Amino acid sequence: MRAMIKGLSFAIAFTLVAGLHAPAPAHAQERKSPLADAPAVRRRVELREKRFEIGVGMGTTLGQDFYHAVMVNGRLGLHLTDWLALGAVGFFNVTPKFQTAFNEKLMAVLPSMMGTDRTPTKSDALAGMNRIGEAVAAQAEIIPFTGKFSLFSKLFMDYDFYAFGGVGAIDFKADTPCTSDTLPSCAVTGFKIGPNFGGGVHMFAGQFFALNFEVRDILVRDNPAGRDENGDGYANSDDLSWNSNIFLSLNLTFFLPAHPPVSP
Amino acid sequence: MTRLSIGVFAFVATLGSGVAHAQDPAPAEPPPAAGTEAPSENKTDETAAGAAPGEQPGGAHKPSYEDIVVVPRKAFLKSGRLELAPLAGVTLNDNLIHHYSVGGELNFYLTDVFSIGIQGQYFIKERSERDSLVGLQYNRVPTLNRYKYAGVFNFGYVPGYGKFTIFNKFIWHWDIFVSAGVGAIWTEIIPRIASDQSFQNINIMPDFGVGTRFFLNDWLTVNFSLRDYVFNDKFEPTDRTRGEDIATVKAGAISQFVNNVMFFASVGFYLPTSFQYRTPR
Repeated sequence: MRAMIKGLSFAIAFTLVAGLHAPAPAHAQERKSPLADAPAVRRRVELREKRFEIGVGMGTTLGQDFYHAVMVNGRLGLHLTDWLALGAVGFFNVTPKFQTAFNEKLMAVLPSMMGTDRTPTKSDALAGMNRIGEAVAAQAEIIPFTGKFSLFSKLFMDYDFYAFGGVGAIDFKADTPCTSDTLPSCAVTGFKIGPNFGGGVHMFAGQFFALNFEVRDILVRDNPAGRDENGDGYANSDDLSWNSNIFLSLNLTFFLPAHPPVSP
Repeated sequence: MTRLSIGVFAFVATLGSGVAHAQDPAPAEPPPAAGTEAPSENKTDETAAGAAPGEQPGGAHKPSYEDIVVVPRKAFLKSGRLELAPLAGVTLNDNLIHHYSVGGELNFYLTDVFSIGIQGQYFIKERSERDSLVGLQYNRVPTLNRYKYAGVFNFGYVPGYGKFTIFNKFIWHWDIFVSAGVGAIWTEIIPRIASDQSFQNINIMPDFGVGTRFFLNDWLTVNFSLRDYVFNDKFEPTDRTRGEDIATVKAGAISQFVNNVMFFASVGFYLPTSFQYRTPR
């Protein structure tokens, strides 16, 4: 019995000594700063999370071949979290006759009457050109960057940068509808669908109101000139190719509910 | 033997408690400053009433919540430093011919917000798909110029400064800059008939820009900017005849005002590579 107690005592003592001595240095090494897992900003006004966004504004196309489009646009957004949102936008062209400089120069050098060569007349060339009528897009938005800045150390604003991607559609219009696919000029009209992507920024003037600037590209299959592209002499669906349609837009947006919560 | 076991336990317990102290040391009380009394509850009340938090009556500093400032000082100072910035750019507003550019900027910051500098570019042209279709679709050849080199002298100003978080985890500092200046651009006509002679132009060129700069460390930034270069360029006359003397062609050149809007990305290296704050927080 004594031997058993002796053995048991030594075993317990050894276990405790080993148990207390061995892990202790490891615990000392694992000490972490209490701020290690803390967010970068505490007591932050949650300007986006679980808020609804509605906005209106103006926009313009960039780099169109034949017709610029100055647009009235609207924007809706549902911010599921601080960094993820769903959005929808719509554009309506209010300057359907706004020719680009390239279009004006082209009209200056094209003849009014058909000659003996294949040069189109001004009216033939114009008949093939299309322009953006309306555009709509739906998108998912990721908002990784949020912060604040000062202008002249006087004006302070919160802001965020976001990137988005989704699907878009452009409704092309033309003065002369195309009636055949065996003509030298045939304007592409109607809705064309394609990918929609870009980036934007919100600049918050308070907790309820923000300026929103977006750059987007809606890629669709189009033939802006409505003229032969593949060399077969006719303008038809074989001449469609993927074209960028870049939109710049500035919106005044309102966030609801008007008073956002504050993070811990 | 039982005593022995108890002795071993007592020894182990002593060791154990010692380790525990080593893991969680009690904060050492600062020794009272000379001429001050040891703190007491009553003194604490006096301190709260008569001295700023963190200050003891005798002037000894004690860590306080006020040591954490809401807006810390700027993460990056530029005053008196030289920025070397290799850059790459692309034109944004020409549907017929695109120009890519490589070059560099050299800026010296007279203050933290004001700079003077020079920029040089070499252009590489690329004719667009729209340009290639003009001949097929309209039986015409566009009149175009290519850009060769450009250099400008700029004044820069930093009106805005900010910071942002990435998913509310990391903080990054940045600023906004605007610049304006004047320089020159060398251009050359692209003859509509490839075998014809070309001529070159040197045009005075004001420029205006806006951009943003992200601070990566004490001497490195990544910059993005938009600049508009404005100049009056001379193009090949539309009535040029075959075999016409190039001087006559140039004399009949068509002048046109050009806005060349470009987007740039650059990396800024700052010398000296470090800086010192000269003011307290």
